[in-house]
Amino acid sequence: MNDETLKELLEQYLTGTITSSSKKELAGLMDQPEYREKLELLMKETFMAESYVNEGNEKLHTEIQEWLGEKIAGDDRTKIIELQSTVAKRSSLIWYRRWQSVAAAAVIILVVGVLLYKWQNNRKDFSPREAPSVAQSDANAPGKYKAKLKLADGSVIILDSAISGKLAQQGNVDVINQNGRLIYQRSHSDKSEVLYNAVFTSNGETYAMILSDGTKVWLNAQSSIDFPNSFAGDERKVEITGEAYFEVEHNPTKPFHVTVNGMDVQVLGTRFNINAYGDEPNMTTTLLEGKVKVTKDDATGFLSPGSQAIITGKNNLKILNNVNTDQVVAWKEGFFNFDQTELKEFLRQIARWYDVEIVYQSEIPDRRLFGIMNRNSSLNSALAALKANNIKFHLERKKLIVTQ
Amino acid sequence: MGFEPFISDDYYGIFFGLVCFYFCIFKGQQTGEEPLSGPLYNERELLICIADGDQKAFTRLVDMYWNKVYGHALAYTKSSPRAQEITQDVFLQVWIKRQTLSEVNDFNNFLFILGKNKIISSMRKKLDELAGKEPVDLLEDVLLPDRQLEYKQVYHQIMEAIENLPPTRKLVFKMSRIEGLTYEEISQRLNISRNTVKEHIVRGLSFIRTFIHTHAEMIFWLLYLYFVDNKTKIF
Repeated sequence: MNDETLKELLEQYLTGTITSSSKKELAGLMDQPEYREKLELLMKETFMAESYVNEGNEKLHTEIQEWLGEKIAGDDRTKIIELQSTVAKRSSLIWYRRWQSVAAAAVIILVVGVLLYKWQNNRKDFSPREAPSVAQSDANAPGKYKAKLKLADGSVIILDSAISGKLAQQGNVDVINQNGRLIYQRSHSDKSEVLYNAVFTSNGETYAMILSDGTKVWLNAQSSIDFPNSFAGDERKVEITGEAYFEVEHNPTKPFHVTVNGMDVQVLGTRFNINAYGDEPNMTTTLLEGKVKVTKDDATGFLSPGSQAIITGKNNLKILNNVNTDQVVAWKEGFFNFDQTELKEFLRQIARWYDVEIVYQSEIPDRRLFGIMNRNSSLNSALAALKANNIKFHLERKKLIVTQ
Repeated sequence: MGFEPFISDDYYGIFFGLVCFYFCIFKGQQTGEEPLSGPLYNERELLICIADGDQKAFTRLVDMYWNKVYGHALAYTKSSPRAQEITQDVFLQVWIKRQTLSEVNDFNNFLFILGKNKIISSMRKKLDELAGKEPVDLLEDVLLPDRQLEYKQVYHQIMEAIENLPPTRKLVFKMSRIEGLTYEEISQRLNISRNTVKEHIVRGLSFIRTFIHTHAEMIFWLLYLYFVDNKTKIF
């Protein structure tokens, strides 16, 4: 008896040409640990080489997926129940009372329909929200459509929704401000030099713009974007800080790159949000539509719609699926949208939008917030959430001091 | 500004009712995304997503690997229902062990090990089952009047399955099983290696098994096993 015999018998078995006596012989061999090991090796070889891979069968494929789906769904239901109970424990929040809200929902279901319908219609609308009313121009007013534009020669222009018309010419591109957005529009001039411009927002400012390739960019507060007046060469490259939402004009021959803090996001044409504030623990890229490739040092990840790349520290890239994208881009729709948001993160958002500094005089409890709030609301209404959580605080001009 | 009239302190109550309603009812509907893309979604990322409990990624992984696991199990167990069972079990194990996936360096090896023992014990049983049963039993069986219809049905299904094989495989299979040529002869005639001939035969057999398993209204397992495994008079 040798290895060749085993191989020969196995081949006969597999090809269906084995005789009765050989079957007994093969069975006998399999019962010896030594040969069983050799058999395992031969099996592994064919598995790795994909020698016997099946050629597909839709019925079987569906059966297998459905069977697994059922097994896993059971698994998942128990998890959801666990999750709900922990959430219920954690959020002693007034904002979120499931049963009360379900009762309320029954009454106002119609209103929700209208509301969502209007919201959906609004989402595609690129025009900025109305500037906040002047009546709120106290120290703690919400943010505004405002930014600074730095041209290639170093000159700075203040942007807001009040000014309108052509601001400058950069090479063969006209720089136009209209209704609180900045538009880079190709002109007929034949000066085709590439010039770099930048738009900055401070705390309490936001702005929207259309780049020369048609790509739309929304800048959140305390953010910036560096971009060329027109995209020459075979790539489109911009650099940002803070938070920005992109609707990149599709152009498969000229990939669009966003660089932020050592991370590169490569896209062809798509909608996504990047949050890379220095004071946030993670840098997140969230995809709403299309495909993007995220690279940070040696780590690379691909996103599909609804997924989010999270970069924590160096080279640590994680991908989450089925994230609440409405929440992620609520800011550009003119809302705060909190979904299990930590109190500290809530306060960081408040700080950036209402331009206040948060000073912690004591540790604050680990609470999660739920809810949507218009970004035009006053700081006081935003801080109602703190009161509701029994957090003690007071405002001293531009400082929000959290005492307990 | 569709929301404007609702946002005032007075309306907070209603507003957050709406918000909660939105979270309760509409959040569940945000999953209508396109299927995960092919080459853009590699094995490593899939495994990381699955380790995170992502069911979509898991489904995608099954899409990618089920043919490999099933085909392998079927070649050795020679039973389509058994191979299906093993395949399902292998992937269920993957899901159960998902938290360890991020540490798996060689995922193919991991899959192989998950199925290995079940496949070997199935194969061992199959050898016992088949041993001792001689074609002569079948011959007598075939001659029973009420069995003839069943045989005919099985025969037709096998022929239909063979017709559905990819061209080269069909040629190799017919040369072996109908013309009765040896693997060497086929190898020389078609100018392919003996090993390739062997692979075509194994995969052809597997294909027929799967075909009958998924096409037959009534399955006469024992019967067609004889046809396929024992080279009876049909071929």
